Amino acid sequence: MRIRHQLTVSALIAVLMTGALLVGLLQAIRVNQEGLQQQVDAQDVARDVGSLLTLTNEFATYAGERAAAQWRLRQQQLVATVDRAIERSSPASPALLELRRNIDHLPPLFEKLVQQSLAPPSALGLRRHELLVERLLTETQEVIESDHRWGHGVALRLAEDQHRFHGLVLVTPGLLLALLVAVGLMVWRRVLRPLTDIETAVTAIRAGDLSARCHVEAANELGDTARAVDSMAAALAEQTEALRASERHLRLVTDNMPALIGYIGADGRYAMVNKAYEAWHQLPQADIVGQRPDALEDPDSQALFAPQLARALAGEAVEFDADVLRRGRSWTMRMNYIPQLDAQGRTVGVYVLGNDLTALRQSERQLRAVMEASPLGMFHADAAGRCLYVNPAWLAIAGFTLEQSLGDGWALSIHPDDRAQVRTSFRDARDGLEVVSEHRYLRPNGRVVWVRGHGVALREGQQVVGYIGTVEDITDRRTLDVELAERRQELARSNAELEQFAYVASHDLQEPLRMVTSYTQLILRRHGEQLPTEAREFMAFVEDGGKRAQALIGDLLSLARVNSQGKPMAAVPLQTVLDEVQWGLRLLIQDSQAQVTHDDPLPTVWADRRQLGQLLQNLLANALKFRSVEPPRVHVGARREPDGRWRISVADNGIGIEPKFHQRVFSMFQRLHLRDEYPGTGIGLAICKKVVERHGGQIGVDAAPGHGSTFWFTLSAVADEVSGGGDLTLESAP
Amino acid sequence: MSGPRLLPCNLPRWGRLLRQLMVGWLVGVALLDAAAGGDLRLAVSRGPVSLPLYVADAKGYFAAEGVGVRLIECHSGRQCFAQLEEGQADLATAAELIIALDSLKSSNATIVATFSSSAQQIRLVARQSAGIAVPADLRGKRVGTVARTSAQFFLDSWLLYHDIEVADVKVVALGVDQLVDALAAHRIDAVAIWEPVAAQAQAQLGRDLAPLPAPRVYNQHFVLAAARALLAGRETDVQRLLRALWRAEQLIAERPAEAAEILASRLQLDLGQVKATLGEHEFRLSLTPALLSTMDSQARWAIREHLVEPGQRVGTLLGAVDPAPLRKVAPQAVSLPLP
Repeated sequence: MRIRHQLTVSALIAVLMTGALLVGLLQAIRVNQEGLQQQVDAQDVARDVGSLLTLTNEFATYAGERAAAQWRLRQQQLVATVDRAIERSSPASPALLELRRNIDHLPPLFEKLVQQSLAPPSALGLRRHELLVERLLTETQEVIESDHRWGHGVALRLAEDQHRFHGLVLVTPGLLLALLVAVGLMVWRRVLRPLTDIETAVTAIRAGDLSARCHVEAANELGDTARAVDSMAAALAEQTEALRASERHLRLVTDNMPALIGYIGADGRYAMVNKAYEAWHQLPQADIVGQRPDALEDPDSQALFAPQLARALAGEAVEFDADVLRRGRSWTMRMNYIPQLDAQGRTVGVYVLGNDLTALRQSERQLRAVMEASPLGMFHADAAGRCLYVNPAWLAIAGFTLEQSLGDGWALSIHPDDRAQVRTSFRDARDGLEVVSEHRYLRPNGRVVWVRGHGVALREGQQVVGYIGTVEDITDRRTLDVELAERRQELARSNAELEQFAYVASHDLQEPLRMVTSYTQLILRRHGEQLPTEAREFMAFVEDGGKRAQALIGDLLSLARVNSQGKPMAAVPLQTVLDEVQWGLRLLIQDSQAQVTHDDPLPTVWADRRQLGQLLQNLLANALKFRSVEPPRVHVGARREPDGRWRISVADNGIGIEPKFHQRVFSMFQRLHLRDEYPGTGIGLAICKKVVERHGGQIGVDAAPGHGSTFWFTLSAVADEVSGGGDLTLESAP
Repeated sequence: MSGPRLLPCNLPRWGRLLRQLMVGWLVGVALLDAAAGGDLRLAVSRGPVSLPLYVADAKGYFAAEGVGVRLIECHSGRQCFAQLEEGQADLATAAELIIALDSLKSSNATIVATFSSSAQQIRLVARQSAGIAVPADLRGKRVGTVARTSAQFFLDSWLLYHDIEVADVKVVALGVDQLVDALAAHRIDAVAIWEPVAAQAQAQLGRDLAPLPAPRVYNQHFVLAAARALLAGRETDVQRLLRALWRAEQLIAERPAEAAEILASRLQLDLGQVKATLGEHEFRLSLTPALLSTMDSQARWAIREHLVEPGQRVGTLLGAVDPAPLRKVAPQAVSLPLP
């Protein structure tokens, strides 16, 4: 039970007991007063009954009117007295009610007696008088007896009430004392003893024994307090352990840091140093802690450090670089003195942080030397784009002096037409992009210099603190590029003219050749019998040469038409094109007993349908033409390349090609066999190559002599071209 | 050749002495018990007045108080007292009149307590068929009663109260068990008798029997009388008996319904009637001056009516009462100015 509840219950019991005592006392007083009053009434009754007895005797003897009147008056007083007593008694005692009844027995007898006294004297009357007097006296005696019993009962009740009162007076303080003792015991057991336990535990905890506990299990406020103290001690122990672990961790960290880390108290003496300090002073920590810094330094160093430490002890954060000689060499130290201030702003100590900048300074010098010697122009600008540093190479490229370059001056080196571009480059660099920009410098002498600049933003966190970059003079390369472009345009134009010439020439040569061939055939057919044998042979040579020239011109025309008369690309079902090609070559396939197979299904590719047919026909015809002794086996395959393009292959079991000729076969007029062995113009594969190149693809051959050849080419897939913005049209018909 | 003897005579002398002492102690206890007399023989007059005795007997108060009491029932106090006088009973209950008349002689009995009193214990009932409606109608009528009892004393007082000469009424002395039949047989016109006989007459004659006015001409004290020899030898037992009666009267006062059931069961009466008439009695152990006043009146009445021969008048009323036992049990109950 909670202490407050126990105290409340105790207080309630005390209040109830006190109330009961008061009520008992009041009741006892009331009853006592009532009893006393009844005693008085009983005495009055006794007095009145005594008077009645006397008056009865008086009347019995003298029969006087006065005695009768007094008897009646006294009897009425008696009745009134008893009635008052009955009214005051609630409820009235049986003895009192009996008294009242007995009093009522008197008047009839008395009135009979009065009546008898008025009657004429007679023997019967005398006996009757005697009877009535005896009865009246006896009844009066009964009244006396009942009054006596009532009075005795009142006295008994008074005695009992007094007994109860005494008991109340004796018992109630006893109960109160018992309650007090109980409360005292409760307070001692539930309050004082736990308080002592708590105090003992708190004292132990304060002394550093964080394992001390209250050991109070009571389910009351002190139990709560004890548990809170225990919980606090446990938390304190955990925190202390965590703090110690943190200290160990901090010590571990600080000891493993190359920087000098220490703490100087307000007395100007070391309170803590790390391992780096030990190494710096070549002294153990114990010999450093408690020493003044100047006691560990040589006089020159004292002059460096002492004033700065004095400033820090005065409350100022100090940072300075100090070049000191130690162990025979020069050291550059970046020292930070950070004062620790209390709530009143007083310095209670100084944190010391010393970083060895010797290597950094050396590195900076080396870097500066590299930059100075670099043929690349280098610059360093602040966040606002103001120049902080440029190397000699940059000055040479820009034609500026160092003084002209620093600050905002370097911006004048940029050609006015390119300054907007350069500003954009700086913004890109600020936004995190690696900027490469080609722009022009305008030297003070008016010469324009092309440069290629690389720049990045320097950041500290998210904040841009500056820019660094390089500048390369690309004036010569830019000049070459311009010349190269001009030559490329001239070459393209020349090629176009050549193609036009070839086309025109081929087209225009067809007619005379056709006349030569036709008339040669006409001469042989009409006059061949008349010509000598040698002449017929010569005419046959002419006819053959004419046909070959026609074929050659036809192929050249086809080659020329690849670019000049090419159609727009479209989605072309490869299966349809292959079917058409096989139909066109069906006689050749039949004659050669060839077997042509293909992957199923074949894809739809992005191509010029007619040129794709020409491409497949050339490759299929070659496969049938350059066959071995075995019947040709040709397989058309298709597979998806990693870059998404389709790789179409035509594989045969023909004679194969030596690897050294794999590239040569795609050149014009390159033949690997005599014309008599394998007729042809030597242009077919060149046409194939040109068709594939027009489609943006590649063509090649995997072959080896006696193992057949596999010609392959790549074409764009339909989806790539469509997603690339092309209009999707499906050419399913020739 | 003789072996060891196993007879008692072989016991050591102190053993025999111990045995003799044990036998003597047992005989002494028996003798003392005989001297104590065993249960007290108490002759009880049948009627509501004896309710405290019935209750004490029914509730086992006698035994609880450590006294054995054997009740002997009799039809009237006179019969009970006669048994006391004759030594057939150690104690008897009777109206004070019996003791008053006896006290005028050399009695060996004495009153130790009044245990009940009532002004309605004795009733005068009359047959309407005899033309009796008011007290004056009794003149010339035959009124039956038990002679030399409180009923006769009541009748004389009643008549005197109503200004009627006893000589104007023909008093017929009958036995208790004859009254109701005589009344029913019209051999008498009215009867003055105690309860429960009056109630039995009422029950037997029904509406023909009407009670006449009952002024308080006589408040009967029913007393417990003891043989003087008993008081001399076993006063403690008498005190225990009185304590049992005290407890019985407390039960009657506190639990009248239970007491009524005991009475109805004991007397074979209607419980409702018992409850209705129980309040007419006061069951209280006492010895008051009123007792002596009543007995004094009765003594004078007895002398006047020649119920006692002049030569027999040797006793005194004061000698008829011994308040000592009751004073030891309940001193507040004794208001007699007697030692």
